[in-house]
Amino acid sequence: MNFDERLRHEVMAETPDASGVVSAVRAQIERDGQRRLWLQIAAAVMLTAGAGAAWQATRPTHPRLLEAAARDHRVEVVENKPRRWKLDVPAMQPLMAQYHVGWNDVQALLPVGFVLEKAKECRIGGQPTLHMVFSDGNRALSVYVRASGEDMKVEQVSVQDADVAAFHRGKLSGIVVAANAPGLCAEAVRRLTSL
Amino acid sequence: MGNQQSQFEALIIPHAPALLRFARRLSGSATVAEDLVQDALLRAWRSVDTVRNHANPKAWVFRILLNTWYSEGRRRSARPVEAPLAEAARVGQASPGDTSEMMQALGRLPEEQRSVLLLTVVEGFTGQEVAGMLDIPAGTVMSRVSRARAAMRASLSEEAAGEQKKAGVGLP
Repeated sequence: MNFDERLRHEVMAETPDASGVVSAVRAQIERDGQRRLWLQIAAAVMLTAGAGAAWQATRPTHPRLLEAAARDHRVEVVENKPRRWKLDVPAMQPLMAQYHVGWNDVQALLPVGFVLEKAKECRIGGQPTLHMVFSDGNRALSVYVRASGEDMKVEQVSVQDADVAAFHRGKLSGIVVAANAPGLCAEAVRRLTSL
Repeated sequence: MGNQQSQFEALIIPHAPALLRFARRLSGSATVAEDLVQDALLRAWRSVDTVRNHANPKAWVFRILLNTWYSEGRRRSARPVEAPLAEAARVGQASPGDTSEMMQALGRLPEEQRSVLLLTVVEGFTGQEVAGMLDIPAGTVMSRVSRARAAMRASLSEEAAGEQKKAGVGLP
């Protein structure tokens, strides 16, 4: 037997038991697979939660309230259905005071060229609401002030041909609606929130 | 996962005993060898998809084991001295008598000579395959093998001479 054969024969005579190592490797692979599976599940959950949050962030906070205001504006302002409006300032002021709306507030939020045309109390979403209508002769803007003073997220949506926006500023919170008047609603909300 | 698992089981796992045998001779410790083979197999598992690009899966996984051994060299050198080769011999069921002389001579070789000798003579890899595993020229592999053989022969001769001398001293 030459040197190489002898060396090979003697080393190969060692028969190390690799089963323990192989078992440990298989167990580790199993654990890695389960961890990967859990990571995939966690990623899917986070993705779903993220998509949900994104949807939540983009959907209106008060969709029914905004729709109700748009509907009210269409009926009472656009279609001008008969309602008992207060048309002069002395009659309007006590009503506005109930909603913490001062005359200075009204002057400040008026878009350029607009005047306060009329006001009345109504119910939007089942709650007492001050409805003021501003007009420049061609376009009309409804401002609904909520008695509850609830904290409303500033957001704007379109309901049919109307732009509807919620606003919140100090004690005042409510909804602005303008139909067939591009940009008017946004401008009013800008003025309201910068008061 | 299924395909990965089946490739791993079919192409890699059968070489586990050879890897462990080689790792024990390389490291001189049964414990270190088991850790080393486990790490190497897990690394092989993570890239088993690429094994089909290699003509010799055994050479591929041995290269992974050597890379693991050398990449962990710094960490290893910082550890306390590992269990001695005697442990490996005990666990490895080394043959008695002249077999242990051979194994002791092998253990006395420098690591770079011991590894190429084991890879070529015992595991049957070509000089080219070993060169690929160690990232050295094939000529360097062959010269290391020659030096390893010469060193072992010299070591065994010295051992035999010593035994004869001892036997001579004992005569009346």
